[in-house]
Amino acid sequence: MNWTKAILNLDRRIIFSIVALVVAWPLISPLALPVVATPEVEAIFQGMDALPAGSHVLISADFDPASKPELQPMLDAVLQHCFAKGIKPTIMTLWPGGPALIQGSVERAAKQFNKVNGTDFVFLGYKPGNAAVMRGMVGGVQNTYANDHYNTPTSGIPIFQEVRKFADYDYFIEIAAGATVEPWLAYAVEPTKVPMGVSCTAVSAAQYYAFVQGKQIVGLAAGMKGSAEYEFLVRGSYSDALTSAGVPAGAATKGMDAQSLVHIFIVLSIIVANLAYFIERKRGPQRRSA
Amino acid sequence: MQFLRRQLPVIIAFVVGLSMWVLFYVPTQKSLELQDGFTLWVRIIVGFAAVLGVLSVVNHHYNKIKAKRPGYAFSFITLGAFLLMALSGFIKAPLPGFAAGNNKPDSLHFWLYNNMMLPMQATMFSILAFFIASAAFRAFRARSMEATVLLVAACVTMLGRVPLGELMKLGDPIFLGGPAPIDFPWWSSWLLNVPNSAAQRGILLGVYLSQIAVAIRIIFGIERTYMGGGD
Repeated sequence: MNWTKAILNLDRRIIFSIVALVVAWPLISPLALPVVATPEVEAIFQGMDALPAGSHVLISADFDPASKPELQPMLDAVLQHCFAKGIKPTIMTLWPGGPALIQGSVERAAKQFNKVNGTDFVFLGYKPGNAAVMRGMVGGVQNTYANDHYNTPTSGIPIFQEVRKFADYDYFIEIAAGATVEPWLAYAVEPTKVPMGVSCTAVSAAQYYAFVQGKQIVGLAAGMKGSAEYEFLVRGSYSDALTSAGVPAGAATKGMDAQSLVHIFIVLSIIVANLAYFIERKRGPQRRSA
Repeated sequence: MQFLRRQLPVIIAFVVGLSMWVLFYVPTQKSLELQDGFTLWVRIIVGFAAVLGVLSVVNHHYNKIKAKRPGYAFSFITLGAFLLMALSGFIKAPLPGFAAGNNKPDSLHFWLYNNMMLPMQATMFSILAFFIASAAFRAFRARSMEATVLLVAACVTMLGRVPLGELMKLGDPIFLGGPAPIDFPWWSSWLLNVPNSAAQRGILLGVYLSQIAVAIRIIFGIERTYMGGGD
């Protein structure tokens, strides 16, 4: 068998093994590749960074463990940004599989920065109903969430003396693994004109660039790369605060090495497979069977 | 009976649909209160839908086990895992080795979530990387002009969206202030912001216009498939 046939009939288990190696190698021995922020991610960061201390930000973390590697680093970085700057985040989720994951991020960040639940931040937890919840938040936070995630009545939480409805928030961050960006835009952001930044999985990012150009959303952090860029920006601006809080290097930044090598491998494998395909086609059916 | 099954749902859809439509464009306090009332009803109905979903899953797997259909052993695992996860969420008393409550990091519910649900879901999703690599190798061929354009765009985007690709720059700018011939981040950004956005706008406009058309059909009782029966 010649090399082109060997390439075209390569056992998929060999490809799987190479992918496993390419992913594992940089995780064991990091390459520390430099991360550069794109204008779309920088816009989200600048929007948040321009807010004065004491401002209120709503974060809707609409993802579950399947999207953890791509989106949880973004949530961590946004929370670190809020706490380092003295901004008060309200965190909620519309995904039933998300609360425990998000609770971990919120409690970890609050502990690192010595923030108090109810005064410096609130975790509202999960509420079913997607668009109905979004519309409910516009009407009033306490009407939608009678209790927070820890079963504390929202009527007694100090933050809700300062913010009562969606329009009272200074900034809104949507971290989406599914189709929640457009409903948030339609039901909450457009009627209230609260600036919105979006973080989403890499596969769904393509559909949101039109909204960035239309200035309906401030910026877009796509996939693990977007999260790594946000981590890079937060660490660049709040290095001292993060160091004194003992915040380790971001998970997305670490993942960029593995993602880089896998992308390179896929591109190379496409090129090699196409070369083999064209050589084999040029040979023609008679020579192929000979 | 026919009235309850056929006419009443159409009347409810007409009244509620039209009301929500009109109220969206009326920025008064009364309008907002009415919208809040409707959205509260939606959240209550969604709660019932969750119960219906649970019953449907249990019923499906119960019947599979009863009839001993192929793979029925997996139904035992599904029902067992479902019961365990649900009970761990409801039980607030301390269990041996675990903290009391269902939203504390040391509780059984959290333990199950962190040690079973989280790695299993993450594993399912991460398997995609292997399948995508294999599929790209086997099926991504420049057989036609369209396939070639797709292939080149995919490769440029993949390289432009990772740090290693960002380091690959070669050549002088092809015009003043423009990109070098090999500048993957620039070309990747251009692909996403220009041809992709143009196509997405067209797709999104089509989708939204279709949604409006379907909504109008439901409100006026022309579209009734949501009631079942296929008419």
